[in-house]
Amino acid sequence: MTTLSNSIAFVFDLFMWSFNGLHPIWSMTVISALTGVLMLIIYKYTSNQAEIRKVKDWIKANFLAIILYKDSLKVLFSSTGHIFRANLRYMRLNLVPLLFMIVPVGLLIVQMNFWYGYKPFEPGESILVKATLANVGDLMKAEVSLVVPEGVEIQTPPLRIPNNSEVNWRLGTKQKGHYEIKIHVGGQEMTKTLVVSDRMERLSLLRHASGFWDGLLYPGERVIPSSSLVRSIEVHYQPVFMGVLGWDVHWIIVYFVLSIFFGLALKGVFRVHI
Amino acid sequence: MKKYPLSRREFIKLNLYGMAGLALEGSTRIAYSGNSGRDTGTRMIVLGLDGMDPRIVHRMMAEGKLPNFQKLAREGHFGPLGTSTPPQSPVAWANFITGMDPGGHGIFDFVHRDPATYLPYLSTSRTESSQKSITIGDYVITLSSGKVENLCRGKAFWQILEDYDIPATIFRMPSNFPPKPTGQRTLSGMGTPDIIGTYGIFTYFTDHPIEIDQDIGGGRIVEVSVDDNTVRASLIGPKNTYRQGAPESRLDFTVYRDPEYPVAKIVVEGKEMLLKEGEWSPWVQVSFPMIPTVSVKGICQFYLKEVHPHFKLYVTPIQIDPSDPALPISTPEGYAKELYKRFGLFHTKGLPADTKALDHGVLDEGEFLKLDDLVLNERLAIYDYELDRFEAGVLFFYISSTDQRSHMFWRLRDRRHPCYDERLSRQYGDTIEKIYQKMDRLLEKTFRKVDKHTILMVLSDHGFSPYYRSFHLNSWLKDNGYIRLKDESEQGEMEFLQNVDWSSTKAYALGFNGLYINLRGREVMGTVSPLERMVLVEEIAKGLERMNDPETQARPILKAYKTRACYHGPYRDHGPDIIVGYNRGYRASWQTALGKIPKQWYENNLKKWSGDHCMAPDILPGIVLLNRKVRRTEASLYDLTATILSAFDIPKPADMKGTSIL
Repeated sequence: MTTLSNSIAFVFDLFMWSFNGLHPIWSMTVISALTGVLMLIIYKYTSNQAEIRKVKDWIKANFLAIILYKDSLKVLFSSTGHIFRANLRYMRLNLVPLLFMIVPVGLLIVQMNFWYGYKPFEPGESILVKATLANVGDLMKAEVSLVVPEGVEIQTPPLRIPNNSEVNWRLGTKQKGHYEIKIHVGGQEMTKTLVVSDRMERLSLLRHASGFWDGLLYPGERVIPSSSLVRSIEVHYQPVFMGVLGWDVHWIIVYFVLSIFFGLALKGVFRVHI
Repeated sequence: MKKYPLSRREFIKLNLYGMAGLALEGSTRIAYSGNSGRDTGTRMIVLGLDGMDPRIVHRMMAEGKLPNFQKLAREGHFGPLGTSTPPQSPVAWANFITGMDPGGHGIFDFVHRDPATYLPYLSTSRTESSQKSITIGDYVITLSSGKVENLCRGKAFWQILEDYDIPATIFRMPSNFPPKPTGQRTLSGMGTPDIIGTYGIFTYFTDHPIEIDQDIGGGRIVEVSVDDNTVRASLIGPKNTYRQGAPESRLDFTVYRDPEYPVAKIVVEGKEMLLKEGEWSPWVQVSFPMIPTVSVKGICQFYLKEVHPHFKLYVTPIQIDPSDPALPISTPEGYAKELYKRFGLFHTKGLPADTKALDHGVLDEGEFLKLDDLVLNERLAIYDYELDRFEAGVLFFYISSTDQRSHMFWRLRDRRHPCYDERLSRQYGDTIEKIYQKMDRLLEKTFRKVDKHTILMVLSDHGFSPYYRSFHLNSWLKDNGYIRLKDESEQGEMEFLQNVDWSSTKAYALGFNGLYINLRGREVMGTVSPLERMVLVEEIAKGLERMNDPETQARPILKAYKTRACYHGPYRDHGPDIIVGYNRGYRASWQTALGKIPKQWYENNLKKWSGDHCMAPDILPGIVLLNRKVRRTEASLYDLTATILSAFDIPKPADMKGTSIL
């Protein structure tokens, strides 16, 4: 899973690179448009188009009946019942294409989150770094240290929480750059990337040992070998929001709204019944 | 949180590509209409430096320590400024806001009393919860909204300017919470509560509480246990009015400390901060859950005072979050958010410097100054921004640090003060002078924006005096037969005049300068007829003015001001009947302000709160400096209001008391 996720990350990085320096809304718009098209295609070939068309016609017919025979209670109740049942059927017909869509959209969202969901550190900002260790015995006796490159400084002594096998540091950023910090534990060294920038970049929040979900959710860095004394290294980037109509909106809402907009706008072009 | 701004060009392109409906923030957002008024060719910058004392300014100017004040005085005018009666900030700034005295604006003291209950309340605003609600099980569903009301009556000068289309930006004006309705940019100042609704309650978490008096006003001492180097505690939020009985809302947080090193991690609502001993955290946004989907947001800062051997963590009062204010703090509503977007979170509580924490030893002098420096630097950054974009109309900017530091550090510059400390004096004895010099640099920065069309006005609302001795005014009233107690054996035990036998009481004191006649028809259990009132006022005033402090042989009270003679306007009879004008060095005791009646009349002031201004207005003028020559040198706060209006050729309203000095 990690290999697949990393491969997708590589392709996604190439795509995002072409929008380098532009406002995020540009790449978001293109991704949403492509998503809209992809979803239409998936929908077209995984759904029962004829049946969907039939159900929609049936719903329309019953609405028409309600309008035409608004004085007839019998028609009103039976048509309402028909609409209700047809809606249930419509939803059932959508389940299959939704199941097909969920995988690619899920993978895409994971990738997008590391671009749109967080902002890189800026010079002068503080960073919390958390390392979770494995098999070190007594954490208080373990030799754990952090080495940072020029441009980054260690601002606090290590904060050790033995019950959680956890060591934390606070770092300070002095200048822009792509850095690697190194954690030394019991003679082993493990690195973690750190981005200090004023531009949108893909950020890796967690470098982790192998695991299905971590591999899926945190692509972008090499997996920590299972023999390592470090289980994970986490860097706390700040979440970022998009400003829409004066509101601070999570990027995923913008993404869904735009994707649906493009899906609806292009359904005629692709001759898809939704 | 940060947002990616979108340029106008990009936005237009997007629109061209059919992205109608997607309006992004930044340059695409239409600026609100606030401050887009008429440019008369004249503009005015007004710096409100709370509590700056003319004697100190004079001396420092003579010593060459305030070169920019000196320059302003040389080129224009520098003189004392008549303060309000009494010289308390909410009253004084209300005089300046409205151009009236307390009879016109209705603010007489920090503390007012409700004549229906004799109970005190904060004078500048009133919060009313919803009057209609239904209860379902444990839940309370409100059917009408609560309200918060600004009790400073009368029209503010920026509202009058608005009527004439003159733009104004009014930054943290005291006695302006909630902000008076206007399209001008205003941010509320002194009087703005924390999210609990008080003037600010800090919390101090420690496993070693014995060193601190538990019964302190303005703060909570919470004893915590450190188990396995972990502390679990709760922040206290506003009352949860959605639950029956309105219990306090709480928000749990955890602190992990390193077993050896002086460092700890604070985890609150998933946010993690690492602090070294002696460090302040950045602002933390917290939200107190009320019911599912409803929470109240606030902001606070943590200060890790000590990690080992004892755990000591100070948390600032939880303040209104400017990014999503639970109560109105600005006009237009978006102004607070605009400042937040540019500067991040900032202090919103009226007076953010935590004088109570210093007074009770929770913060030491250095820690207090560090906090006040954070406040000041935050404000100065906003001032730079406002000054930079100031083009027309009026820019008013308020600084509280001059006042707060004078209150807390007077004892270290005055050997006569009972709390003078030689060691601390060497380190902090020049704190007041230093803040004055900082204001001088602020003035230098302001000069860069001042051209021949710009009027620059610098004012303080009152001066400062040492506070050596407390006077228990209610005790004097009791011993002179004006107050009768229900139970003599309980004297000195109860606050809020709870031990007073109202059926036999003629007068009482509440607040820092106010003395009230127990007037029939006004007070719920009034005993004095309107006819007797004047005689009684005269009698008490003479008695107070005749007194001598047996310990110092000084007169504790210089003058008793009869408010029917010195106040004008529709609210004249709502306030005290006498304003007690204390002599230099004397002040009403804290107990008097809250209606306590100790057994003695006098007490040495042993608190760090060592400078004050709740005295006779005649001895505590503020200052006024202008870069223009003035027609008359004697001026009061309300004259400056008229001066501002006259600078824009606006006639002063009939109820405005002052006259222009230009």
